[in-house]
Order: sequence, then structure tokens, then C-alpha cells
Amino acid sequence: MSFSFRDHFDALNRGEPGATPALPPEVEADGPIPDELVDRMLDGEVDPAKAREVLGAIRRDREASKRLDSTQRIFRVLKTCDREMECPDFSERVLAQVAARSGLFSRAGLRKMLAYRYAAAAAVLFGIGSLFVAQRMAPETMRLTPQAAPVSQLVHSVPTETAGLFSGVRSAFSSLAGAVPTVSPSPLAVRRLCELNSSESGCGFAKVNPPLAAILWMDESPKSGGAVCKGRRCADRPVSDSWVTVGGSYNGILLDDVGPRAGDSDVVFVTLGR
Amino acid sequence: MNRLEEQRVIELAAQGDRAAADCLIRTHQASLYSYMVRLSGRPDIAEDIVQDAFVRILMNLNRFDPRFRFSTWLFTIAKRLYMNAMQKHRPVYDSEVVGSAAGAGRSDPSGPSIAEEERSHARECLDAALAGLNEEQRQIMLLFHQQEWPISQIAAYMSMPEGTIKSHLHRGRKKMRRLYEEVEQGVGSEIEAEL
Repeated sequence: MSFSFRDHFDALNRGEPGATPALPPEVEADGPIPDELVDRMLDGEVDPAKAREVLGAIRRDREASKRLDSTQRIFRVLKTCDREMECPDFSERVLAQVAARSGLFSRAGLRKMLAYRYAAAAAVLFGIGSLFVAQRMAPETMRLTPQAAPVSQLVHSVPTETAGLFSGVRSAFSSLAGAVPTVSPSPLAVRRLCELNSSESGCGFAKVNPPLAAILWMDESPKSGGAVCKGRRCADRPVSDSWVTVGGSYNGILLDDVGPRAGDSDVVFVTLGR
Repeated sequence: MNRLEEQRVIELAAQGDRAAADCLIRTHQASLYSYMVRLSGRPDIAEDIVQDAFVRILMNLNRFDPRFRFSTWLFTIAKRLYMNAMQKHRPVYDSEVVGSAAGAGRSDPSGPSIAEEERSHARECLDAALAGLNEEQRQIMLLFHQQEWPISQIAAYMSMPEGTIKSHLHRGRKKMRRLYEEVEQGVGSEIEAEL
């Protein structure tokens, strides 16, 4: 008949009515106690309430009792010997070593750590303060998402130098005579923004015909085909027809006080006709 | 010290509190040292390992995961250091050296008494029995019977299922009983032969 101690003890632990006896019938009948039971006893896995009963059964079996005693004796010796073992004091040398390596647990290390903490706290406070001031002083710079803005602001935001350039060009164009290209009067389509203040990009100026009288800044699109001069200094040169290729299409900016929408500035797409 | 108190002490030590670090070392040094002496069989190596283990632990206290036991972490670090030491110079389990470390130094200079003779004999048998176990069994036996760790903690430490730990315990006890008795009888017969 096969017998499982695990099942038996599990049944004991579950408190099943039929599991009242701590030991199986074979054991109770003064049979040999298997090693497994002795080991369960030593493992501390026997229900404390039944431990006395199990121990009694082990004691009734001379061999099992001897096994239990000799095992317990070995580990008693182990504990006794190790209790008597002289353990060096590691505390001082460990702490000294840690202090030497990391500065931890030393006065200097503690001061250093405190200084780091204060510095970190100050940095955090300074950061928060800066953000607050920036938010108050220039809220637009704190916006993370792009905001729609009227194109007219572009011209207003042109640096002074560039603005001066335009005024010079305007005065130069005012004396321009002869054939001038015409800008198509019908709706000026907004195409795109142009770089106004970049010295690298090409630019050109032209004065359109009197009905519009607009001064245009033009980009260097392939369509402009040499009509534009290079660089900012073009404003200083006398403007002539040769600078303008009529019949071309350009992207540009219609400046203030001219054109069909006087007082307005906008990015326009123009066609210069003969 | 219960786990809550220990956790508090660990937090303080991690913040640089010297007294807390000292308390942590003193609480665990004896158990770790005795374990390492028994495991390596060499008190000099055990001393180096224990010192190094504490230094490493204290320098990395902020990494301690409070879900685990501190002793498991400490012993794991020490075990790794022990394995490194084994690779560098394999320590030979020296029963005499272990015996002298394990309480033999307290003998009376006027000569050993009968009780001391018996203790010395028992130590000799024990050392032989432990030396006869393989590395894994020795670790498990020591953790259970010397350190009194529960089986679940040993299983976590050894990365083994609890059932395997129990099997090792059962086999280890059986082997230790046999070895202990063999040495005991052998020594006994030697004494009788001398008489």
C-alpha cells in the first residue's frame, strides 16, 4: 500500500475530520518511521499541534529516534561552535573604507553631501523662479505650440537695418522713370513668407507701375531669371529696367503705404508684366 | 531587529548616518562571518569577503529593494565575492583552521579539560562532515541550520524551487550523519588504539 506523508500532513493542516490522527496507521502500529518524517520534523514542517504526537512516534522507533538525535546533535555542535567563534569587528574598518572611497559616513563627506543638496535645491528654486519670471515678462516665449500670427507682423519685425534698406530703395525707386513692369491687379495671392534679413539669400527690388506703386522684395526663385540683384547692397544701386525681368513671377512682400491695400503689408505673389 | 526597524536603519545609513551603518554591520557581521568561514573553510578569506561585502553594500544602499530581506542581499553579495575568490585562488577547506576559529581559542592554558576534549572532538567531526558536502549542499545546510533561514528565503537566495532545497536538505543531513559518525568512530578507534 502506498503512503504519502505529504498528503497526510496536508490533510492535517486542512483540519479535515478524518485527519485527526497525526500519523498514518502504519506508523502508529509501531512500524518503521521513514526518513521523510524525520526530515519533515527537522524542517519544521510538522504542524506544531501534532508535533508531540509525531515525536512520540519517532521515539517509539529506535532507528528513527537515533537518526533524529544524531542529526540534532550535529547541528547543536555547529551552533555551539559558531557561537564561540570569535568574530572580528568589521564596523570601524568598513566605515573607514567607505568614507575613504565615497566620503560617506565621514564629517567631510556629510558636509559635502549637504552642500550638494543645498546646491541642488537652489538650482531647482532658481529654475522655477526663472520660468515664473519668463512667463510674466514674455508669455509668448513660453508657448510650446506655434501660434497663428498675421503676416503683417512680419514686416514690423524686420530688423532696423533691413527697414532702412527698404526706405533707401523706396526713395531710389521714386525717381525711376521709364517702362516699369505691372503687377497684376487682381487678387494678390499669398504664397509664402520670405527671408528678409538673410544676407545669404538673393533679393531684388522693383518698382511696379504707378497704379500700384509697390515696392517688392523678391526671392530668387527660378522664375525670377536674373531680374534681381544679389545681396543687400542692391538698394544702393541705381535701379534700372535691366534689373527687372518683366513677365516673370515672383514671391515678395508688398510694403506699407502702397498698392491696392495701402497701409497693409503682406506676402504676395506677383506677375510683372510689360 | 524586525524588518521595519531594519528598513529605517537602512534608510538612515543610506543618508550617511554613521551610527545606523554601524548598527547594520554589527547586526549582521557575526552571522555572515561564521557562514563564510564554514563555506570557505578559511577564516582569512572569510574576513576579506565579509569586509568587502559590507563596503559594497554600504556604498550601494540606495539600490536596496525593500521587498527583499537585507540578509539575502548581503549574503548574495558575499557569495559573489566568495566565488570570485574561488576563481582566483581556490580555498582549501582547512578543518584545523576552521576549528581553531570556531571557539578553539578559548581553551584553558593549563591544559584541556574532558569537556573541552569532547568539544574539540565534536568540532573535528563536524568539520569533516561539512567538508564532505558539495558546495551547494553545504550552503543550504548552513543557511538552514546555522543561519536558521526559512526554506522560502533559501530558495530565493539560491534561485531554486523550495522542493529542491528540501531535497538538498534531506540528502545533506543523511550524508552529514554518515560522515560525522565515520569520523567519530575513526577518531574513537584511534584513541583506543593509542591507549
